[in-house]
Formats: sequence, structure tokens, C-alpha cells
Amino acid sequence: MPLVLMSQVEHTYEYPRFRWGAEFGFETTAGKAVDMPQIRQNKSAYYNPAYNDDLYYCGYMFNRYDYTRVFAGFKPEYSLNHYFSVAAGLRFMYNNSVFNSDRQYFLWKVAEVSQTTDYVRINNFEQNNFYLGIPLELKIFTSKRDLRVRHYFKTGLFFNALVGSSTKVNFVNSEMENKYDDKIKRQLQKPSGFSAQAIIAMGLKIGRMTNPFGDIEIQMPINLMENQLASSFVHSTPLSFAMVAHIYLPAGKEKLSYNYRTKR
Amino acid sequence: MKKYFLIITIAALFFSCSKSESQMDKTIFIPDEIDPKLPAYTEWGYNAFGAKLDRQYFLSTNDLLPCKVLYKEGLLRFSLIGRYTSTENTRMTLTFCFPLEHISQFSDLVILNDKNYELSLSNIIVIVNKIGYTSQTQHETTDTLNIVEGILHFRRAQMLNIDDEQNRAILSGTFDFKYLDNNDFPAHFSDGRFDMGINNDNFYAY
Repeated sequence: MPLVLMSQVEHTYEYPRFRWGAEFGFETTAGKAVDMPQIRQNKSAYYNPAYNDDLYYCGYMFNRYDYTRVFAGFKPEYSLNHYFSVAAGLRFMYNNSVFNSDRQYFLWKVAEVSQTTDYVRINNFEQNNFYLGIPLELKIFTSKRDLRVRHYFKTGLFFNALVGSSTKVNFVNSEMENKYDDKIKRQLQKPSGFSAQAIIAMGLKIGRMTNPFGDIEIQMPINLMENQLASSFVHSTPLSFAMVAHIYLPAGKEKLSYNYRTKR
Repeated sequence: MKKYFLIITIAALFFSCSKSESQMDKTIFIPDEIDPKLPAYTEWGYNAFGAKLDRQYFLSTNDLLPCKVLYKEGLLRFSLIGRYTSTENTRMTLTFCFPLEHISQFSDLVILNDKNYELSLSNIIVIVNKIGYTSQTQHETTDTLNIVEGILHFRRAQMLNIDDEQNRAILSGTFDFKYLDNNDFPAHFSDGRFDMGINNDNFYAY
């Protein structure tokens, strides 16, 4: 019931403390390729006295590997007060990594016995990794009022477990698959089974918290564990970049309220 | 119509040429960690070699076939062909000749596995051939070296199969020797290492 005070009207605004939430997004990083000792080097800049030492570059590929994971999750949120809310949930993540040769194929040393060495020609490797994670987040709004567009910051932790991984070796000569497929997969390093990240983020909530609303945020995940492999082909980097969108559905009878005034 | 046929023919030739390029035939230079002007010692068949002659470098290059092996009359001639860096245009061939039991094809070279040759022995000959170019004049010298001491060591000789088909023999090893030249002036080939693929293109037996 609005109260008349001088030339202003005081209102009471209420919104549910609890809301169901769903998230969608991607995390990307410019990682470093895993050095695979079974691959025969296929290019070099050999010494030439007319050139300088910078020409000693060699390697089977540029040592950079862009790595992206897409994710979707379920993440309910609860407002502690007008400024702080907490959220926790489950996040499903997926990555597809392809490791190509910079030439037509790799020469992969598959076996070395006494005086015989066996190479096989491989077009590329393809790996699908599936993760299940638990995000724990604290959201900090910069203003008390639930405006239609509201700025916030976020910090949190994210624990992530590898729940499935499959690798395909694409041979130049398909007849080699039956003989060497399992052996080569065993020679590849396994992606890390567990990782932990700290997250700092900022975003914009769009819509009133009394009705279904959403937000969009940019995150900077910081890896808390060293020497991690994001896949068999790429090292995890200390920092990455993520974009996340959320959709919320307010629920529950417990409410927060505040008063505000408007001009008559 | 003729024009299209010509374009298609040229394109087909171009792509067929690039597909025939073999990674195994190239010289791959992997720098040594201690002395990056020398190739690292490897056993992959990178077709690279390197050595120091006193303080200059004798190295394989991509424009010269770096190794030839000739077996004739019970002698194996193992030649390393490259550039000597004291003057830019000097092409140098270092040949080791030593007796070997009968071989007839490159796959027989695996008998060299872990063989040492004492180069000062009288039945072993080491020859250096140099071809230099100065102002459009070619100078060629061939010296049989008077070895004072030194060893040629085939650390590993192996057969390489690619997709289960025999491809080539790989000879990897090291050498180090001191010698007196024709003027009795001493010199030292040091830190020598090689990693050579040998197949029908560079193996000869008569």
C-alpha cells in the first residue's frame, strides 16, 4: 500500500530469495600442445652460416593449441540479502580436440624392438572428453534495488571431474587400425581426471527477479592445479576466458523486500 | 576445351609431385642442446650429420644428398656429404672405408649395429674431398688422412618399417678423430654425429 509523504510515494518491493537456474556457456584458452615423443619431426631450419641462430626452429607443429569447452548446467541460486547471493549446482562440459599434422600425416613410432623400428602414418587424432563439475559461487550486486538491468560481480570455485573420454586414431592406411589402434591409444597421455578452478567474473542481470529473468557474464577461470592436461594433446593454462548465460525461474515463498520512493 | 585440359593436367602434375614428397628423404636439423650449431644425436633417420673441424663446422644440408654407401670388393665406403663452414661455398665429403663381410642390400647394413672402428688401423682409410668455388673458379682437393687416433662408432643400425613395409636402414653413430694433413699439420674432427637413412637411392653394391 503506497504511503503519501510530502510529494513522494513509498513502495515496498518483494522478490523470492530462491530461484532455479540453468547455465550455458563456453570456456576457451590458447594452450600449449603436448610434446609427443613418438612423432617424428618433419621440418627444420638447418644451419646455414648465412643466416642467424633464429632459424633453428624445428617442430612438428606450432606449439599453440586453442582449446574450447562448451558447457550446460543446473544451478539454483539463493539470495542471502539484497547484495549477496550464493549458487551451487552441476555442470556438464564437453570438449572435442583434434590434433592434426601440419603435413599430410604424422610418422608415429609405434614399436621399437632390437634392430627393427615400426612407424605408422597417422592423419590425425580426435578426442572427445566429457566432464561433470560442481560450481560454487558467490554473487555480489553493487546496488540494493532490483533494477531491470543490474550489474554484479562474482567469485567462486569450480571442481571438475573427467567422466568419459574417447579417442579416434585416423590412420592413412586403414589396414593398420586393427593392429595398432589400441597400442597407440595406450601411448597417448591421458587427460587429467580432476581439476579445480577459482573464478572471478562480472555480468549483467537482465529482468526483474520477481519473474523469470536471465544474466550474461564474462568469467576468468584460474587453474588451481599445475601440470594438468586438458586433453591428450594440450596442457591446461593458468588462465582462461569464459562466457556464461543464465536463465532463472524464481520459486519458493520466502521473500526479500525493501522500500523505495518515487515522485508522485 | 584444350585450355581446360591443360590446366587440369598441370594441376594434377602439381598435386602428384607434392604428394610424392617423402618426409623420410628430407634432412631434419634438430639442434643439439649443448652446441646448437650441431644436430642433436638422434636415431630417427633425420638424414643429418655434423662435426667440428677444429672450430669450424661440417654439416649436412637439404640441397645435398647427405650420405652415400658403396660396398665394393669387401670394402664399405660410408660417405658424408655436406658443407664446411670456413668458407661458404665449400662442399666437403668425408669418406670412411673399412672392410666388411659380404652385404648385397641396404637391409644388410644392420650388421653394423654397435660396431666400433679404430680409424688409425692400417686397413681403414679416411678420405676428405673438398670442392670450393671462388669467383667462378672451382678448386677440388682430395686427401687421404693420416689418422693419429680416433673412432667411428655405429651406435645403432636398425631397419625401419612404415605401415609394416620395409622402408630403409637407419645408421646412427658418432665419430671423433685426429689426423695429420699432407703437410703434417694436425687437425681434429670432433663431436661428430650422424643419423642417416639408407635405401636404394643411396646404397650401391657391386
